[in-house]
This record gives sequence, structure tokens and C-alpha cells, in this order.
Amino acid sequence: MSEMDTNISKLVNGLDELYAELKISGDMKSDNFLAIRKLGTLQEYLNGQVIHFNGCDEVEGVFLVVSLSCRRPSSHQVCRIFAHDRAQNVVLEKPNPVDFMESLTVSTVKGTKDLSRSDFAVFEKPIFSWVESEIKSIQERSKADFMEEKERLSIYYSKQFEELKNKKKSVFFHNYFFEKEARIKEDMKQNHSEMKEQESLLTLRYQPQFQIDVLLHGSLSK
Amino acid sequence: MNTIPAGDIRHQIQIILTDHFMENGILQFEMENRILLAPHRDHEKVELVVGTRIVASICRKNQGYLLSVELKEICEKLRLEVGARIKMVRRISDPRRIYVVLPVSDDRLNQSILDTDGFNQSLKFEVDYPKLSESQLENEVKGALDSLWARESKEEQAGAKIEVKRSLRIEPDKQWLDVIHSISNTNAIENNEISSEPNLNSKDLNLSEQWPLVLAALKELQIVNILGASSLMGVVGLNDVDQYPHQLRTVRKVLFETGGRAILADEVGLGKTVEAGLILREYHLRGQMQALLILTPASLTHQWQEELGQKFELDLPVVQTTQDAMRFDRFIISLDLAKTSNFRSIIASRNWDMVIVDEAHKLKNSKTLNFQFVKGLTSRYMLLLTATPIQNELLELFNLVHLIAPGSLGTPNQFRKSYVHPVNKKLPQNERALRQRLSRYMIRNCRLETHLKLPPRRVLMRRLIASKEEKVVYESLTQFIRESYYMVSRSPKGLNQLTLMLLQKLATSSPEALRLSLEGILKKGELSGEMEDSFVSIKENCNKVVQAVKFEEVMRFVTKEAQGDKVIVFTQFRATQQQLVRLLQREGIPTAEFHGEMNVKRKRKQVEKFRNEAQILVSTDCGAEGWNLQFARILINFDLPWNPMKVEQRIGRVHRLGQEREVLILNFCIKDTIEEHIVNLLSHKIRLFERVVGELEMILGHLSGELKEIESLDSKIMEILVKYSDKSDQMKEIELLGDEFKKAGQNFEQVRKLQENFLGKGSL
Repeated sequence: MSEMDTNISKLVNGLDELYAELKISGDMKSDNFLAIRKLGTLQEYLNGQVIHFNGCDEVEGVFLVVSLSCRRPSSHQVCRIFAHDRAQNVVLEKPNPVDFMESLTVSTVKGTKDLSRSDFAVFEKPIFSWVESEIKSIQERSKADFMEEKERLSIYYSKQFEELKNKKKSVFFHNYFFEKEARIKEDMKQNHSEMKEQESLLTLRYQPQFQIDVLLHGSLSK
Repeated sequence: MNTIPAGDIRHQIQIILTDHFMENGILQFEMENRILLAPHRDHEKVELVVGTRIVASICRKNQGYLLSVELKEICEKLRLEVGARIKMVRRISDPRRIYVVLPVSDDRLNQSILDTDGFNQSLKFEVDYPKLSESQLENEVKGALDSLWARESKEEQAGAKIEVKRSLRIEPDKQWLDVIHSISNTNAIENNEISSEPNLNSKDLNLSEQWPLVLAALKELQIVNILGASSLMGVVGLNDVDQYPHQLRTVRKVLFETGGRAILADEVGLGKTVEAGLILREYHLRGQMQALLILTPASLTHQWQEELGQKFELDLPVVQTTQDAMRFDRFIISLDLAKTSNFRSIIASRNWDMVIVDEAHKLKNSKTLNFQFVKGLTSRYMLLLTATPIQNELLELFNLVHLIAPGSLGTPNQFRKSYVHPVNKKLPQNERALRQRLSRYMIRNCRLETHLKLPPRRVLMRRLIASKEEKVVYESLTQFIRESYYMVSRSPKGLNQLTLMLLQKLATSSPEALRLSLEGILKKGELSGEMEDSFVSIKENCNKVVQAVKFEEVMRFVTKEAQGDKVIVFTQFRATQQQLVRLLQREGIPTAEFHGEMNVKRKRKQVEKFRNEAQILVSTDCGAEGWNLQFARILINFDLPWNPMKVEQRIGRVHRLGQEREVLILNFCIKDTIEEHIVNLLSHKIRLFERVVGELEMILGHLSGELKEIESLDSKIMEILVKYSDKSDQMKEIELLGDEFKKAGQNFEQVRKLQENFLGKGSL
């Protein structure tokens, strides 16, 4: 066995062990995981592969494993498996694809001729609902931060505006008020445009930004 | 209101707008119209009512005019031209004001007033919480499925099959595994370039072989999803990074408390760059950092590049051209270059995930271009790194926090009132409250509290007496340079001042290295007859030197004094290095070497060699930048760079966090040469050898005049050497240069005190 194969099997075994530990205790030490990850990552294997399974007791049809990576308003990554039972014409969903897939037996490598885009149209709505609810719950969690920031900026700019307005009033009696006034007006304009910038920046920071990737897909047969 | 009820009018006049008014806002009154100004005193403020707005004016009763820039602006906005007639009315019901009636409709007037100064009436920060767009979501879902299919049909057309490409990178200290899976090369398919020849680097696997890997990859993803939310993912498995509790605390705080926007203000030498690197790595591993901008002083761009690449596996280019600034999503650039107009527009137009500003005290003044440029950047995360957030006054700190979280310290006025001492602006008030508010955005680790004490540093000067032959080499070369320095060109081609400077430095490094350089120049055949004769003569003098005194001293020290301790010998020159390595190896002393032409892998091998078997490491300056060699404790400066930053970088290799033993620094200098002056400058004026690594950069920031660019120090020293042949004159001049450094050092000490005054001695 080459050194590379040894490392791959170490990596696979390590991940198996850690995952088992996580399932039992519901917790794990991140250092252990990172020590395993030092060997590398297998994430590139999840790159839209087509896999055909047999020996699936539950479903006969097609499946998708979808990952949702949310970058904004906060970092969040989840994945989910969707399976379409042709016989019942229902879509099943599970939050953890591993548990479902561990029990499956891999069939052969087939071409993709047997599957078409239309087979997967049935998943559009369930994926939509899932992503929508995930993002909405992320947004719900971030809303308090947003409101706090908005409040802070709102107070800041209105206070700043008040100060500038008072400053403007106070120079009226000065002989050279027009120079000073022009400067203050410039500051007011700047304050205004800065506020507008902050408004768009705040919106941008809390605007949902996410990515949906189909990690695996294929067919299931009994 | 642009019309006045007739019964309410006391006086009414008509005025024709003049050029004078349209330029300066001065409304000159005819004698008969001056009655309107009668109730007011000269220089008195008069309120003009224009529509719904009250604008200010000054009454110059004695000169018979009113001055109002605001009225002028409104007229401009309404496009009233010279010759237009306006009415001015004093009302019975409101005798202290003058009502201005403009020849436009009320609607137009009011609209114009709003446009001119709309924010003058009210200012509201209005923004709603962004909503998820259903159509965007629908497109994303469909797009994810469509793109999958588009790819598959291409593969099918091209007859592609599942292929797993694997490659292995083996490092000396560990094994790294890169597993690269590609279903096929899409670009190749598009270009019909699929080769039927098997790829030697790839291995076809069938799906049943792959399945355990796919399943493990899914498990890995699940683990990442669970851990990612609360744990640090990037702190394990890093090369050459010693992580200290204060650094991990900082990373956690930035990630989980400050939302990725913070000022990292650790005291010098506590590893702010490492903290920033760890934070970057965390965001990188979480897929949160697609666009990254690092702004540093020009002198530090490559140091950042080296450090992030070597320690954090983040390979970032240093950008010098606008094309590169557009091409790369993640890069390092000097702040001075980035703020120039060409770069500014490119950089400011992008949405950054992270912006890092090193030496962020350069943003202290809100009126400067530096500050305005950074303020104009749109970035989700922002880190400002500085050991001295306050240089002169507390408001500078306000400005830095404003970049991170505008409004969090109130307005500048509120801030002054709350936290700056009303009489002595150099002193704070309400320190406790200030520290509490700052601690949300600023992280400051103090050496005292981290309990990270650096071991002492002992510095020994070895003033060596050159042999007669060496003296002849030095004197003859210096004399030649003195005569020809201003005769040769400054241009980079041919024999120029830079070459002469290098030769001068070589003369105190190694006569043998000097000889080789002279030979190289002679071979080019570009010298005039007289110069060529001089070079030949100096070269012959070099030949007469059997063993230079510095080499003898290295051998003596290594064999007699080092007692088996590991020793790093630094030289500026590759030729000197080669000579040293040859000499040491000839004597059977295990030696490793480090130079700038080596790639990271070779350097790592040499570090391992030095760590495990070699007693000596001979390094050039550019070879060792960014590497941690604190397992050694003795450093020999075989020759001394004239630029103190380079000397500090050398010291930084061994005298840094993680060093547990006393560090010994040996400076070799040859008596009665320029090196003696350099040693004095570095040790007595700059006090370089006493300072914590990192401080020098701050001190240099306090230099003024030409020395602001520290690179100019080389040519200054050279000019002194050329101008003054008398040693005491040379010394005097270099002392004067040194005084500039001394002053800068004193300024820095004051600034450091300020940090203590404002921020306290403890961590934040």
C-alpha cells in the first residue's frame, strides 16, 4: 500500500471514529477533528457525483444530497438529503444524509442516460422550502444585531446632524460666517452621504447570501 | 410662502440680481431701498424667509448691502439669472425678518429648497431589515439543478467517465495529502482536448472503491457543520506557528464577539500578525473569505506575504499593478499605493469580505486620504492592527473605532466631553467607562498580563583588527570610491553609485567576496581604462589576503566558545555565505544554509537540518525573513546592514516568543572602518539591541525629513563616507544622523506612555 493510500485510509478511519463519537455523545473535541484533518480533506469527493444504489428498503426513485452554505448575514452550513419515492410519489427529506446513506449498497457505475433533469424537478419545491426556512431562521437570529447596529448608527447620525446644525447657528454672528458656514454645510453633506453609505453597507451585510450545491445525486432501487 | 398678504406689508422693495450677488451673495441696496435695513444694526444677523425656509444673512447697513450665501445658492438652484427681479418685504406682523419673494411658484421654490439642503430639515437613518427574495431563491434552486445537468450532458457528450485524480505532497516534517477529484476537465471538453492517453498522475477508481471515501467526506462535512459554529477550526496543523493563549483568546473574541470587526492593539512583539493570520485562516476554512485586501506599509508587504504563506498556507500576491488589482480576489498591497487614484477606484468599487490594515495608526486623522480611503471601503470584516492606536490625542482612537463601528463611541463632541480631560487633552477622564466601551471593538494584550517574558539578550561587540592586507584592500577601495562616487551615474546600468555602495559593504564583509564581484564587473568590460586599472589593483590586493579576520573569528568562536550551541551567522552577501559554508564544512562542522534563491520546501529542509544535525546555519538576510529559529540562541552578525530594520529582522529570528534561553548576539566589526560607526549608530543612538523586536518599525515612523524613507539611510552613510576622509569627521556626521533616530526614539517613548495613560497598563 502506498503512502498516499495509507493516509487516505487513516483519514477515512479517523473520520469514521469521530463521527461515531459525535453520534454517541453529541459532542466532540475540535482538536481531534483538526488533527485528523491535518492529513487532508475529502470534500472534493462531494462534487456532484452520480451514484446508483440498490438494496434500499425504503424508497425506489431518485435522490439528491444538497448543501446550503450561507455567508450572510451569518456563517452557516448544512446539508440535507431529499429522496423521491416514485411508487408513492412523495418526497422524503432527512437532515443527515450519512445515516440514511450508510445503510445503502452501491450499485454499479452507470451513465447518466437513465436520469434526466425532469426526474429532479420534483425536488425544486422541497429544496425551496428548506432553504427558505433555514435562511429565515438565520435572519431571525441576526435581526437583533441588525437592530442594534441600526439604532447605533441612527443615533450617531442624528446627533452628529444636531451638532452640526447648532454649530451652524452659532457662527451666524461672525463676520466671516459664510466661510465657516460653507465648511459646516460641507460637513453636513458629508455626514449625509456617509449615512447613506452606512445604510447600504448595513443592508449589504445583512442581505442573505448563500450558495446551494448538489453534492450527490442518483437513483435508489430496492 | 412666496406671496405676502397686502395688508401685512410695511415696506416692500424690488431688487435686480447682479453678477456681484451671483458670485458672492452680496445684495447691494439702492439708497431709496435702504429703508429696509433700517431696523438693524451694522454687522447684525438678519433672518431672511425664503418660502418655508429661514436663511441667514449679515446686514452691512453702513455699506448698504446684505450678505447671504444661502440665498445665492437657492437662486442658483432655481436657475435665476442676472437681471431677475426679486421682492424683499418687511411685514408688520414680523418686523425683525425680511421676506424674500422669488419669481417662481411656491411648489418649485419648496422643491428647490429641499433639493438644495434637504437633509438640513431632518436626517433619518432609514433602512429595513433585508428580506429574502423569493425569486432569487427560486433561481438559486433551479440554477443548482440546471448547472448540474449542463455539466453532465457535456461529460456525456465527451464520453467522460468518473475519474479520481490524486496527488501527494510530502513535507519533511509531516505528510500532506491533497485529494483532488475531478469528474473531468470541463475546459478540456469544451476545447475537444481530451487525451486518450492515460494520465500518469491519476488513477481511475470505480464507484464501489470510491463509496467509502464519499461517505467519509459526508461525515467530514457533517462534523465541519457542527464544529464550525463554535470552535476554532484553523488553529491546529499549522507550520511554525506557536499559538499562545492570548492569541487564541483574541481569535475567539474577533470571531464570536466582535463579528469580525476589531482593532488588534497588542503591545509590540505579542504577535498581532499571527493573530490576524489565525483569524484569516478561520474565515478561510469557513468559506467566508473570497475577497481579501491586506493594506500594509510598503516595507512590510513581502513580510506579510512570506508569513501568511509559510505559516498559514495562504498564498497571496503582492499587487503592484492595476491589472493585478482587478485580477486577484485576495491580495496584499501597500496602503500608499492603494490610495493612489488609479488603484483607489478599483479597490473601493469592490465588496470585500475582509480588509486588514497593518500599522493602522496611519489612519489616525480623519481628514487624511489614508482615513478617507479606508472609510470608503466596503467590507464585511475589518481588522486594524496597531500597537499604538493613539499617537497624539485620544480622538485618534475615536477615528479608528469609527472605521470599525461608526457611532459606537458617539459623535466626536460627545466623545471629547465624556472621555477627554477638559484641560489637559493628553489625559483621559472616565477611563473605566472608556475601557469598557472600547473592549467591545478593541483587543489589547499587554506583555505584563500574558506572562510572556522574553529571556534576556546579551550583546557583544567584537571589534576586530584587520590584517595589514585587509586594511590595504579597505583603504584602496574606499579611496577609489571617494574619487569616483560622484563621477559614476545614478542610473541602474553600468558602474553606478549602487554598485559602489555594495562594493564598499563587501569590503568589510569578505575580501574574497569583493574579489569575485570585482572580477564580475571587469568581465563585463564596461569600465574606462583608469577605472579598470584601479579595479585590477584592488583585486590584486584582495588576492593577498590569506584568511580574513572575521572568518578566523567565526571559526574561533564556533570551536572554542559556542560549546556545541547552535549558531546562526548572518551575512548580507551570498558570496560571503558560500565562502563561510565552505570553510565550516572543510573544518568538519555540520552547517546548514539559507538564502533567498531557495524555495519554501528547500528552506524547510535546511531548517530541519539545522534543528536536527547542523550546529551552524549561515543565512543571508532575505533567506531568513519570517522564519522562526528560536531553537538557536546565538546569532552572529558577520557583517552589519546599514539599514537597522534588517538587523532587527535578524534578531527577530531568535529573540521572539518561544525563546527560553538567554540570547547572545555577536556583532563583528572591523576597527577603523565604517562598520565601527554603524555599530555605534545601531547600539547607542537607535538602541536597537536593547529594544523588543517590532519597536523599531514604530520608531522609524517618527523620523522626519529624508530619513522618513529608511532606505535613504544607506545613501546618507555613503555620502558621509565619500565626503569625509577623516574618521572623526565621519563619526561626527553619523552622530548627527543618529540624533535624528534618538529624537524619533524619544517621540516613540512618549507615544507609548500615551497608550498607558489612555488605555491603562492592563489588557483590554
